[in-house]
Amino acid sequence: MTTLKNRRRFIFAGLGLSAASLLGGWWFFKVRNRDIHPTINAIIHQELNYLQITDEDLKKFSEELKNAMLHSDLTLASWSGLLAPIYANSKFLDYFSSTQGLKKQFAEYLCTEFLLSSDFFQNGADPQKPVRYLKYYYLNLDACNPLARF
Amino acid sequence: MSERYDIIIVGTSFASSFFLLRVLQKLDHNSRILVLERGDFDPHAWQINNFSNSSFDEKTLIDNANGTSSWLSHIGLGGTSNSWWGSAPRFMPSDFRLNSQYGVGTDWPIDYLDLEPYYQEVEQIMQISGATKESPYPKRIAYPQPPHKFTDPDRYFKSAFPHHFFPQPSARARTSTANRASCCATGKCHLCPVNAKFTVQNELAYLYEDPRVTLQLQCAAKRINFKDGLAESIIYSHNNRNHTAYGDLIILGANALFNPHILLLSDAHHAALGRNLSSQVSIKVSVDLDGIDNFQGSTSITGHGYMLYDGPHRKRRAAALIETSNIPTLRTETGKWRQRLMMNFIYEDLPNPLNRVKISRQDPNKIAIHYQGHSDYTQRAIDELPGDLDKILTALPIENYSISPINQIHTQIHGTTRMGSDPSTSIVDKNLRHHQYDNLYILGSGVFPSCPPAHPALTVSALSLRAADSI
Repeated sequence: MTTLKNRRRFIFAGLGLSAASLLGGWWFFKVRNRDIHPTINAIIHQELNYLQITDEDLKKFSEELKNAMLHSDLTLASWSGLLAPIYANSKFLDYFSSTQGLKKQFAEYLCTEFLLSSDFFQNGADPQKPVRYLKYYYLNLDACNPLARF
Repeated sequence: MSERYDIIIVGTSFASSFFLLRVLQKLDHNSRILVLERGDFDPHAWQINNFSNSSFDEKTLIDNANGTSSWLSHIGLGGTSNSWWGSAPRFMPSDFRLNSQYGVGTDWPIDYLDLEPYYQEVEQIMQISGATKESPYPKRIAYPQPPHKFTDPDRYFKSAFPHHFFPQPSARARTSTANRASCCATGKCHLCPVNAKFTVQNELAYLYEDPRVTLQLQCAAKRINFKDGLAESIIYSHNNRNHTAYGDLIILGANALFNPHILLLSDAHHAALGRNLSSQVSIKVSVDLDGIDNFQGSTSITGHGYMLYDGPHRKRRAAALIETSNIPTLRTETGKWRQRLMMNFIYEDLPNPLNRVKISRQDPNKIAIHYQGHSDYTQRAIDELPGDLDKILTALPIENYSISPINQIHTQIHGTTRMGSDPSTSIVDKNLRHHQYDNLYILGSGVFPSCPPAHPALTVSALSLRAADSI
């Protein structure tokens, strides 16, 4: 009887593990391969909610950033995709101090990259003016760093 | 298949290229020099387009036997000069006599003044930008390029610590050179989009076009053959075939992982070979400023703080060099976007003989790294960082600060083929000549008997010029 119970437990555990792996794998690769725009959209709208930024501009920014990140930091791009649904739909990451710190760091990184690639500082950092995306600043050799003074 | 050369040089990064520079000035027109480079020629444009410094995956060569540290080197023509950030300070005089001055670590067999003329020469070649008048170390003439512009927080530090805070000496051009644009402060210096920092490729490429030089790419040095107390030849592989090259002089100018590995594979055993592997330890500190904007500087890293470098504290705990970053890391609160300062505290380490490079048991072509971590001497300094910050940050108004975990990526690797006067405890002498084999020289930061907090590139290059002069 005990052996039978153990066998059942083993089968159920195996099935559960397989299902979880399949689901996790599907989710990981689907999210990983898809556009990271939803994450970026969610983060930047949440963090810079006082600025007027269009979804269309964020889409352009996401595409250029993704191209750069996919070459230089595949892990970051992958995890950013994984974080998208969590970030966009819940406050889950805020419950733990470590993930809260990570979330803040990641959000600040994205907001920095976006604002430097926009006309925000060119317009005197005026929150009343709509912010327009120009070009991912690393690729913009005319204005590598719009804050620097030479 | 075998060939004969006057000199065979392994590697093309700082150490090898500066050595080559000097020997080409000294040798006659009929001389023949073979340079072996394991990687390929990945031009700057290729690196930018591929967001990578090298087409060679160096991880395939390293077996990190224990520990979570990552040991970075970029293999290809120009080596780590392609990926460095251009920080180019000299070492302090005390770095050469740590034991005599502070009773810890090991003294170098040379002192600061032995290296000073070579420092000056390298600074000219690299066109270093730096402070015009003051310097933390003795300096006879000004840097060839003017300093980069400070940020506003830098100005506060300069005002509070006038004799301990300086513009960072930098190989990121302040003004353009014939081969480089001026720095545009992009903050992504490992892949500088405008080619502003010194690299072997942009300033010393001509060396490899000299008719006396045969540059062989994708050639991995495997072992050195010794005969009658001399290094006779080197075996290298190319396209899975082994070749032998004979040389009157053999120069190992790969890095502090590869040089000892080649010597170990060559059965040039020595009790100190591969030991004392060490690397600086760095910690980032993020400071939220109160009412001061940042990021006005003209380059990625603008300030060098020597407040924790030299002093009696070094008898008990490690020195630290402080970098202030101008790379924008914005806050998201409205109106406070630029009120952020990132600082990097770079600590020296005391070499530990148990930290070492060996031949991998699984695959002799791989390097096994046994690294147990940094010293207690360094850890004591890290433990005291909050107290140090409380003093240093009185220089400017701040809201708060946070300290990041220790950076476990080692890019500046020292100590595995150390120099010294005693052949029983060191591999090379003060001229980087092998104690046992008169015609074998070992270059690079592997020869450092200590691990100072300053970036090693300038010292590595100066040592190479000096070694070539000694021949």
